[in-house]
Amino acid sequence: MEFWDSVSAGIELLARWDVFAFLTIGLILGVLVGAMPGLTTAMAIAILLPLSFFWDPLVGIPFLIGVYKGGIYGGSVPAILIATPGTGASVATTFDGPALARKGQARKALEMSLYASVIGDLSSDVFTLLLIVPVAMVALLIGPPELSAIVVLSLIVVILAGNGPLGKGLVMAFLGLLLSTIGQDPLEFTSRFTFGIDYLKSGIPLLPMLIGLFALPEILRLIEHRMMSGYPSQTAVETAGDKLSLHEFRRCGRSIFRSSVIGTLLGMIPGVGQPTAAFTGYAAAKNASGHAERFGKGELEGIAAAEAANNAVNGPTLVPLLTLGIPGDKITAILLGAFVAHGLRPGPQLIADHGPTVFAILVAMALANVILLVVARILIPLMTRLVRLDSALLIPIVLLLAFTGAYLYRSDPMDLNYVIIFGVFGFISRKLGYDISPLVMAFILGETLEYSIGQTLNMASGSLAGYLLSERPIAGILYLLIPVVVGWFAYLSRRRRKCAGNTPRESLSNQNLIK
Amino acid sequence: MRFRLGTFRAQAGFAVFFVFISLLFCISIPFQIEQPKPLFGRTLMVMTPSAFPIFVLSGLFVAAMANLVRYFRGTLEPGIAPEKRLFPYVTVTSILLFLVFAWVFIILGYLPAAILMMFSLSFFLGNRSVLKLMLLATIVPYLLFLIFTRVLFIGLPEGLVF
Repeated sequence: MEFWDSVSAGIELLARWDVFAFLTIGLILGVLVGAMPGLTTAMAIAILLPLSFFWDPLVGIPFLIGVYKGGIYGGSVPAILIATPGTGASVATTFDGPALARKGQARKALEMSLYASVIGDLSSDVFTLLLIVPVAMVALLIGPPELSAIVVLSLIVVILAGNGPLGKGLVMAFLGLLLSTIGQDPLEFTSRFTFGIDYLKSGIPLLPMLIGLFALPEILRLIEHRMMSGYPSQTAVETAGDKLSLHEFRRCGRSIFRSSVIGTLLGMIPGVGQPTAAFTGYAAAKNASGHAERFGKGELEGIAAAEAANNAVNGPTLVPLLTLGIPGDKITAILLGAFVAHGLRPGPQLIADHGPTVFAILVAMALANVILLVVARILIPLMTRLVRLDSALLIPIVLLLAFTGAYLYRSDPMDLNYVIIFGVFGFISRKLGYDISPLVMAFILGETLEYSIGQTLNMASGSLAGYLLSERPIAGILYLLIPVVVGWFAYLSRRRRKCAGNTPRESLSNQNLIK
Repeated sequence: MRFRLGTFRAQAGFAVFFVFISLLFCISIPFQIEQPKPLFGRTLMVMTPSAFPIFVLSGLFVAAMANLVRYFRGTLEPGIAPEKRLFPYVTVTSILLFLVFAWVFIILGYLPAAILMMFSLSFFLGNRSVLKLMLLATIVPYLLFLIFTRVLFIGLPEGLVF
């Protein structure tokens, strides 16, 4: 089916009230979750994922995308009002947001954050829509040798670009690969590492593992934080003040555009994520500004740059996911689970087999921004109350939803044991400075990697290097790119360490609260 | 005050745990990986079912050993130490609560487990208002139960009671 046929068929599929209704519900839930300090977007998607299984893919996946988009935007609200980033993506927003709130310009800051988020996100979604077909066409030409090289490269990028140190990231990646080998061999379908336990024959279930790794450690951290802070009552937050003027908005236009481009480009690289995009967008706006001294002291342009960049990541992260089946970050790893559960296996064949459905989802994703504009404006007064919500009420509700979600996946109560095992493991890992993202990515990609390597070895008939260099030059080049990528990240890491001294102190002090 | 000693040892313990896991799985390969059935005297795939796990286990062993060596050399990156006054009381109690909830969920069903967990966890977190506790422990679980079973038509475990 041609591109425009698929798009128009997708738009036709969208002409359903329930798609819009659930997309809006997803956005509302996402915004509310993002606005509550302590609750992460990844956790919300992991918990709500099982619900989507019971709906049509056209309803379930846009619902989750709504939670994703709403959550990333919602994180900026506590970042501005109480200097606590609601999500990791909003850390850069705390550089200027609280200072503006203290000046009595919280309303301006919230409005700028909303408009910049919507513009950044919408432009990246349009770009994704246009990019996905060419990438999918290239992906169709990819065989097992190229796929294995891409998976290896992606895993390396995820380890290098992740939050944790390299040595610990490697351990987690290998552990994820090891966990993916439990159950059945993907090539010969023989049993592996089941230790006589029937329960392990079908492998480790993805969803209870995701809920355990993403939700339970957050809940334990919230409990710890609550106990340490001695049940504090949050101070009232003020959202009054002047509206954002057209002149102020236009003044930030260039920064919004620049950050949208930065976020879109960074979003296509696996493992980079929203926080990096926000920091890069912020730094670029500061460098390009004629009044850099105002940044960090309550500059609207700072909020616009950070928010446009972090939201512009949302769309392009779906490009490697949908075309190659490679999740770019932990949220897209969870979304991968949603696509698979709905019978839409992300990979080179997805667009060819389910073009209209995929385009309907992508168009819904773009429309979500317009709905967000309306929803967020209505919800701002409610969000200011949510940032003060008592965690003694919030934590039990989140825990109940997490366990119920894990049960709903297969209606197997034993899955709750997986949630606890992975939850405790995730909590200990976090405490000891091990990032769990490489584990999740490696677990998801492990089977694909093993299968593609096995197929490549069969195709090579013994002489792998010769086969790759003579018959599969693209795969050979991709493998040769690995040392280049490692070198590039080593350079970036050194540069980042040098720049670390320039980060505003107040915001750094909040980083122990990021998600 | 930071619980430095605990974290210091835990880093080594965690690295040893990964070394142990890699060795345990390595030793179990002959017993735990089924050999493929040959077709016309040979298997279809060049790569055996144990090849990928052996590669992964080797990688895990080397990476974990490297972390262990870096720990002894004092160059391993530190983690976030738990507060001495909270650990292990809060963390262990919370995990025990989760375990109790999971087992009550399996044995007695959703509603009793949810009511018990909401009440006990909220109380544990410092909520001392009887009204709030009662409302939280009854309304939220029942509302979710109604949404799942009546609106979304998704069954929840009934257990022995419901």
